[in-house]
Amino acid sequence: MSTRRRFPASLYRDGVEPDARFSLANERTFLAWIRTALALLAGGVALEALRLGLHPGLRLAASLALILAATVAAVRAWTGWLRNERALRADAPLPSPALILPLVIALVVVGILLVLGVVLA
Amino acid sequence: MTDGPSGPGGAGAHREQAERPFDVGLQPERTALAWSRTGLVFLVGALLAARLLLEVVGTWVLIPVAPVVLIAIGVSVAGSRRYRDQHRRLTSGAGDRIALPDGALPALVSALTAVCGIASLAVVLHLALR
Repeated sequence: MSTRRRFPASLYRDGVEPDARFSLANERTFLAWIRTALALLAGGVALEALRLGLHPGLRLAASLALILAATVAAVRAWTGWLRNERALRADAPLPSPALILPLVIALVVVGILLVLGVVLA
Repeated sequence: MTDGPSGPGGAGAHREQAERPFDVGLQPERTALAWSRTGLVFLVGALLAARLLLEVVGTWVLIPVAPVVLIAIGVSVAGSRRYRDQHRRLTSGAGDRIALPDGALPALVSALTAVCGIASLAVVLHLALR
């Protein structure tokens, strides 16, 4: 039994070590969310930096929406990893991916803003 | 399929040699690749930001870009070390329910990505209001 403190302590205090394959899958899910966040970030910055010929207010709104979604995704990556690992350790059902729907909605909103931005340029 | 944490070995002789992969599904290796992919995305993001912002702010672009390049290198190196750590633990013959590296690195990467988000917010507002 390792005596080195693991972070976060509240996670490792309860439950037992899960099958390593599940923990590793959880880790890859975490990294996928991080890459999603970075892609959204790149999109948001590029939208403003390239000064594409859209309505400026709508373009800025779309850019900010993407950056907000990116930051939420970055935090979600961590909280999702934590919740999944906790469920794995307790041999409980995995929590549902609660932020997939808001992410989709955010992307739809950005799409609408961009279309309007082109139309009202 | 799963052993308790006590006792050596589990199903299959492939765990006797540390040189062989722990899992024929190569999960640790896939995870290592996921870490390097993530480092790559940080790097590409940094280069993209540099390219986009160079015309706008000139050499000041290095201020936001250089830290992200360091993050990219750090993520790749940390991911590689994490894999070696996981591989060593998993091939030690103690089964597949052993303690893996903890959540410190994921928490750090998540925080750094969120900081990149806030920095991007500042950049975009600066661009929009100039």
